[in-house]
Amino acid sequence: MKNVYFNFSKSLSRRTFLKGAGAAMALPWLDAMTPAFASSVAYQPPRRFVAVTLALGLHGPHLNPVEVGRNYTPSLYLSEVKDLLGDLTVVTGSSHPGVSGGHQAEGSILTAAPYSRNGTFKNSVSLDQYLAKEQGHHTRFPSLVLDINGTTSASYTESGSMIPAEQSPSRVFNQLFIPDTPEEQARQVERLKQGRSIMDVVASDAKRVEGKLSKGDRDKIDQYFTSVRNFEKRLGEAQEWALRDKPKVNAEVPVDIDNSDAIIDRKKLMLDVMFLALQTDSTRFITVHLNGEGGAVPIDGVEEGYHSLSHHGLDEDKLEQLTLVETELVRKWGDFLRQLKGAQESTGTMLDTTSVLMTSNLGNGSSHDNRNMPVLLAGGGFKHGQHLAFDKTNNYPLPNLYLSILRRHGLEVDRFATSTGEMTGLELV
Amino acid sequence: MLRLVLCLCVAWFTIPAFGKLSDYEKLPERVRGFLDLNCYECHNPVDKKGSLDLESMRFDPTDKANMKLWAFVHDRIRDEEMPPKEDSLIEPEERASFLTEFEPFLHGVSREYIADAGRVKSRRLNRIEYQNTIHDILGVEIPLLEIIPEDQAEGGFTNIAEAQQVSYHLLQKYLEVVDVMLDESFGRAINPPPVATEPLPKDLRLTEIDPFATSKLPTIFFYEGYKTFLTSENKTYRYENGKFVDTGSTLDLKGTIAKNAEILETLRAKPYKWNYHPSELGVGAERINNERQGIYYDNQLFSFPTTHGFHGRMAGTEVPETGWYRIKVTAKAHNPPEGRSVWGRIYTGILRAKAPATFWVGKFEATPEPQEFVFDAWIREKHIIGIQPIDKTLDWVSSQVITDLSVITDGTAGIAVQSLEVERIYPGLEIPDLQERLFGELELKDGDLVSKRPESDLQKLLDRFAELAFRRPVSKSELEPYYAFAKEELDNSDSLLAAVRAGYRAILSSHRFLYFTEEVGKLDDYSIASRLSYFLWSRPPDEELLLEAKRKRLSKPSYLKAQVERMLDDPKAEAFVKNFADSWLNLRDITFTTPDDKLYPEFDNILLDSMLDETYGFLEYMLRDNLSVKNVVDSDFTILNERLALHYGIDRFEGTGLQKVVLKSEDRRGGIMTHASVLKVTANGTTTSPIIRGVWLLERIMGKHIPPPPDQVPAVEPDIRGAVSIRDQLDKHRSIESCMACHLMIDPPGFALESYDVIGGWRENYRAIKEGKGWADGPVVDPSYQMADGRRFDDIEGFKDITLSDSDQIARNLLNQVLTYATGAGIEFADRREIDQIVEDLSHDDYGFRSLVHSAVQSSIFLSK
Repeated sequence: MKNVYFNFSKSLSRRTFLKGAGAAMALPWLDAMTPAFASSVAYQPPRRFVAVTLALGLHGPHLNPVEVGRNYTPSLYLSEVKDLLGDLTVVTGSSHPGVSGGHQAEGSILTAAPYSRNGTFKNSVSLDQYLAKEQGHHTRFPSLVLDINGTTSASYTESGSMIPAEQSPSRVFNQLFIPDTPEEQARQVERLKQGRSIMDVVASDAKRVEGKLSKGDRDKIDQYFTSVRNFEKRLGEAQEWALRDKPKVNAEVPVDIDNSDAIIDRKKLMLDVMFLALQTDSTRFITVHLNGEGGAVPIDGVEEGYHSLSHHGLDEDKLEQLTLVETELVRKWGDFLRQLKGAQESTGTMLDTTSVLMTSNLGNGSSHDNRNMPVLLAGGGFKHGQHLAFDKTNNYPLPNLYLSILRRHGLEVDRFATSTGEMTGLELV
Repeated sequence: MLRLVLCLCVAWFTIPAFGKLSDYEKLPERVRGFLDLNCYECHNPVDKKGSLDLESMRFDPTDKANMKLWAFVHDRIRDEEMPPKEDSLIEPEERASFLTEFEPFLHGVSREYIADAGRVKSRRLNRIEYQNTIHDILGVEIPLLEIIPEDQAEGGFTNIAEAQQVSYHLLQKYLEVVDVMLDESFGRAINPPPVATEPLPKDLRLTEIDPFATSKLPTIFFYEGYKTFLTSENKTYRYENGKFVDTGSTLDLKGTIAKNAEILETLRAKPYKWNYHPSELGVGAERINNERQGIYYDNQLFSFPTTHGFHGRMAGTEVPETGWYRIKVTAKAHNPPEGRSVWGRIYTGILRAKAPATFWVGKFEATPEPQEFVFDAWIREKHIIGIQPIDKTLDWVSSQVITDLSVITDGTAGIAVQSLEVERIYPGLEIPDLQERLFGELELKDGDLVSKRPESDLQKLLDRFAELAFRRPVSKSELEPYYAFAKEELDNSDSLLAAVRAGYRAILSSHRFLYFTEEVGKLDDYSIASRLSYFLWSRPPDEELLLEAKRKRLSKPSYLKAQVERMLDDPKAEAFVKNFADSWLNLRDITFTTPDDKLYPEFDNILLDSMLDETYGFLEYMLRDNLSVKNVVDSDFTILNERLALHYGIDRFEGTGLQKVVLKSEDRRGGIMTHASVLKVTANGTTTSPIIRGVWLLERIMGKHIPPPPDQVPAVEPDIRGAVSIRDQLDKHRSIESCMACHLMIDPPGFALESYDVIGGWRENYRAIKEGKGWADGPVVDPSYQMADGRRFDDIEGFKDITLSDSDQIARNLLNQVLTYATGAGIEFADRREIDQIVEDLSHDDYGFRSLVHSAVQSSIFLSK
């Protein structure tokens, strides 16, 4: 595990921190600071949420255990994370109600917005963005939206617009950790301040023309107007953050991998940066998406493109190759969990406070089936170690799990998308 | 500011209902009756055949998706695809009378809707348009596509208003771009970069130290103009007269590093133009394990096709800052195989294993005679240039072979570089023009603009700039908020320069810059200018277009036609060919998959680039000579270079460069359908699927919409071991009733292309992975099939004949695609009648492509919102 060193420069003195953050802003939590403040205030580690979303699913028979409840025999994939079975729950027989359309349902993975091909599909807010909106202001970045090999993401704003994903680990690293010079910092603050005023000017101007527009135009300009206002707010927050030094980590800037088919290595690289982001409390909400396109993954024994393997039609040879790819995907996910589990916080490990979800819109990639989604949830302060099995033919609503996660974050929410309540059988620690 | 917001809120009123459209809420009785009689049996709430429940489907004229679906229902019935023939018998008169009722109804609904809201709803600049626009306005060019997120594509087009989303995340990127561009533009105008005249003196040249990358030293040093190497044992070698000489001393590291920093400092402040002698770019005898370098021998620099990474790297070419450079290479082919050229690539990067990212600059065709090749490239700080033959059809050699000089004489084909020149360049406006663009007549002095009346000058500058940015004259009241903002900045900072910059920053953040301003009904002249300019040039209107708009001449057909002629003849029209082809034919995604190197060892980036050259060149030719759009399906010529001709098995190719080649029937090529580019983009790198290609052909060439597969249907994928043929799999698939209706249409065109492999090569057999290495012939390809209406074809030629029997449809489809691209909105039902009329007119002129573009521009579809 990598060590993390913090830069205890002026901005980390508590007074500066509070002053900079303003009254409305809660105190950002950094474990490294705890010893210094332990006497005055009891700090609770923050709650975090990470979603690893897959466009092509995970082969059910290799993922899902046969036995139900606790002490199940690990499935082929879960035997990759045997040491973590007590820290995770595998859910079967659940999916998003009303979501269909195979690959087209990719946008609904974290939003659960019912996809209907018969009408205009409008997406809704994704789980991570819901959390980021409520709690994202505590950190330098409200959320990180990432992709392994593209710019598609599973993260959607409240107006249903997809947030473009960052796919370069080195760029994320630079944004998070590479310090600005004092001059850069000052210029940054100045620009952010001016940027806010500009957003106010252009928002007023947009409002001014709105009355003259036809209905179609008005919808669009209204979306633009809302975006401008949100950006204005965001610039204000960024301005606060620009005054503070970035955390220091003793890790090298990652070297991006060119080959977009090398999804396993790329995923590892990204997960490493994600871990650093969480550990330094640079953000608390991260989604990372894996597209289902591209050629053969460079693993021994894999000869065909990932997408075409997902359509194995139970062909043994294809399934064998797909298994190689998916095993690695699960293994890398496990490594990430182990990193979190190995990081101590004041009240336990980082895994205790970080819910890590891995899921996909496809329950069966081979037949484009959106039912029986693969669902693995680790950490986050839930009672794990079980296989929660629901009805495979009449699926349990997965948005209930999302509601459970929102509540776990202390949000008093009644509903998320088509949820009917918190997830049955999933209890808090 | 607050007061302004409050006042404006009053103007906020509620959305008016669609008065007239409410008349259309119900389908006419007779239409319902027909559907009830013929369709509901399957398409009801219980059975929902093909996921379609017509019985309870609402009719909502305000919902585009809903209207599209009704249009689709109309088309399926019109084309006699529904109801299925075996299930029901419909008298032709019954169908005809239904259609004469339904078509005018849908047309009327659609027309009303457009009259009220317009076809195109607040379209904004897409990624490419945004980049080009801000380049044009600020007069400097920085590649911005890396920063601006990709646009959501609809039907392959990335400029469709309906699909465009905006969120603060996107605005954040835009502001980032605006700042990057303002920095560069203002920076250059205020401190003009020196212009390179003479090449740099020798003692300021780079040399590489430690090519073995074992120490923690910086990799590049300036050291007296000689090649010096430091080994891991800290021994210093100097490279002199083709030999390594042990200097017997360790290097004075501290001194060298200090000197290094000093020289770098000097370089950054200096004009930049270097002439390299090949001896400075590589090493000769005694190569001590540094085979990444090219080989210096006989006053030339040799590189060979080798599996060794980064061979051909030229360490001395490291650039001191990120920017544009003009690279001039004089090179020739070394030992080319009989009748062949040797294709090389120029690329940049750190070019070491620790930093494997490389950036493609371009390809070049080395011939026995030396030639000069010129490239403009954006090179990142500290990156170097590499030149290397990467043609996979040549014999590749191992890294052992290139350690000594014998490879030069043993007949291995390679590239010999004779000289290299690298010059820092600054594309965009010349400095005086740039200063004029940003500051008008005002002079710069002591870091600020000199003005006697800063307020009125500020207003003048902003007005001028806003007119450019908003692509139309700006009224005083429209400018007011931007001026007020800049004025505040002026008062606070007391710097006119800072105020101007702030004002520009605000203007470039405005929706008036980002969005197209179009009012419902006929477009005004300025809107026509913008639409036309982004259509044909992917950039904002130039002076002449704006002038024509001012004179109100663009709304007059003859002037409009003259402008289109002028614009098509301008080199900027390349943007239309490229961006339209990328969207229409989906060529944007051509690099999405990399062909499997065991199955397709002959594939390389030279071939890939040549494929694109063919398609763009072909379209350019069609446009220039007004060739019939039938050429999309079949043609007696194509556009090839030597590498692609080899790929196609056309051995009569002579000469160099891109050429028009007349095709013979045995070439089995002709038409865009058989271009390697589209054959590659419709394959996944390992296999081809008749389904994917079939859908692609139907939607892009034949103009037929195919609904997505219903849920929970197993997908059909080719089996690369050849145990089960795709034909058998599809036959089985089609036997499922819910699949049949669509696959009757999809499979035939898909099978017609079966004779072309993943990279567009001709095949009689499929390629199968061979145990051990490489590939072997798999099962025989059978491209014969029958169309949904029963007409049979044996192969691609037969299929082309069938397709061409309805040339109107080929032209109609292309016109639809062109109009979609040109307006940023899909074709509406109400557009159909006019489109049919244009197609009819074009048929008298053998459907010339240039005529088609003219007709598209003159149509009321193009000229209305």
